[in-house]
Amino acid sequence: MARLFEHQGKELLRRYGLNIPRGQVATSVGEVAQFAAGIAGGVVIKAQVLHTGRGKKGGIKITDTAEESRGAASDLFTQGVASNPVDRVLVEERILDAAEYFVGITLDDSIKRPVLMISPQGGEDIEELARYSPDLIGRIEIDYLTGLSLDRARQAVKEIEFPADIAESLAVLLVKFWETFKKYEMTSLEINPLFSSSQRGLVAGDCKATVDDYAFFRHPELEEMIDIPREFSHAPTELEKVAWLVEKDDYRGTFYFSQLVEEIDEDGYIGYHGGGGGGSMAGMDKLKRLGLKAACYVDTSGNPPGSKVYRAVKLILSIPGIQGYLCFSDAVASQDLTVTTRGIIKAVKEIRPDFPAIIRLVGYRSEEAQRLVRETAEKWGLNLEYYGHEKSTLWCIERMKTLIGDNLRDGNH
Amino acid sequence: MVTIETLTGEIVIDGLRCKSCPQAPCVGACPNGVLQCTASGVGPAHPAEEIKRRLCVECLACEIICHLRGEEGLSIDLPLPRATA
Repeated sequence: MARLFEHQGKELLRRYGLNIPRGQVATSVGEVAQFAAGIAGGVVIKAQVLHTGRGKKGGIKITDTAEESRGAASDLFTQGVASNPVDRVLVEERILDAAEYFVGITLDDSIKRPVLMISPQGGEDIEELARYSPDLIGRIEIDYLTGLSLDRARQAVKEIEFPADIAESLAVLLVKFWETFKKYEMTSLEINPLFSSSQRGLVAGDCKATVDDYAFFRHPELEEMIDIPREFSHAPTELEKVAWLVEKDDYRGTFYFSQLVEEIDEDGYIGYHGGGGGGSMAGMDKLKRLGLKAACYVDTSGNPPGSKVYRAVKLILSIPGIQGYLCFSDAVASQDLTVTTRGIIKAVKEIRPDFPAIIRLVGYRSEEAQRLVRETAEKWGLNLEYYGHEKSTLWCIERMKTLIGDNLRDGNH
Repeated sequence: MVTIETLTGEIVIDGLRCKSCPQAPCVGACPNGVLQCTASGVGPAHPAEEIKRRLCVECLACEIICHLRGEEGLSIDLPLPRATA
């Protein structure tokens, strides 16, 4: 799922006729101050990061004057937010004397439908509100085929007791909100807070939007907004950008690459390569339990060609500071493991990492793959080992720890 | 040098090395018969477009077997794309 930055989500809302605050994206202190100088009543400066809970971590600054905005923007650009660098901010007018509401749509897997949620108690954590005051949240299940009618939206607003003077405009907003969600094939869309002021009407104070990455190809209009249609909690790293370019135009199999730490400054980080979601996640848990850490989460599955696996491994091995490479996958019935293994062998042979690499792949042709690794590792002196069902993933992680220890004693790293 | 375009890269064959390779294991390793022995070494067994679009599945069998049992005359160049700023 690809998350949009706030300013991008607001732009989509604006295209569908929703009001957003006057504002602009700024990449320098000067741009912030210049915009703030032209706005009476002060501005809000919001770091454009994908990290959740941005406000509580100092990522939103409210200022009264242009001079104040200069200092606040400088803090954001230099200090970042919760270890996330900030290279752009959204600077907006303040919406004063406004009530704050909540509107959101998410997919409910249990009923296989989108659910619209509305509450007159916006501006705070909606999960907390749902726990302590569930009666303050209206929930409307929506059928994709029939959509959300204005009458249904009116009824929902009436049931949850919003102020009568905004009921009609809120119902109209909800229909546009739903249409935005549907048009861009989103998996979630949220405005919190939705401001309601006598002067400005209903205005989207924030916007969190997530687009279904499998629908991304149908929306070329989003290409300029989304670097990589995958859900990340950070702006994509250079390696993630390259990985996406590998995946983007090659339909064969799936390649997912997420760098979990950008700079490694301690021991125990491993380049982690899984195949298939469940087993890969379990492998990550075991890695952590035994005291190692994943520098990345990479998945190649769905029967990718050797070339795609090779590029994936090349990227993993190029992460600075890792002390090992681990490839785990269990019960692989849908792909020829000799093909997967050839991709790994080619990458290891070319890069010649000075750290150990361990493969544990179990499935179709794993015995042939294991023989291939033994033969190539011996002939070419590769620091590469392969284990099948005879060894558990836990055993392989312990083996990795031993090899890392030996490697450190030999003076590598 | 003989080059054969694949979907995302290129097979590069050094005919001189292939001539001194009696087995040509790459030819037999390819699951789709992309390669054949020629007078000048090893070359494509099908039209270029057919190989690129359909026959070569980039399984890397030809390269690995060539380097393992042959004369290391065949390599597959698979460049990584470059990220733009």
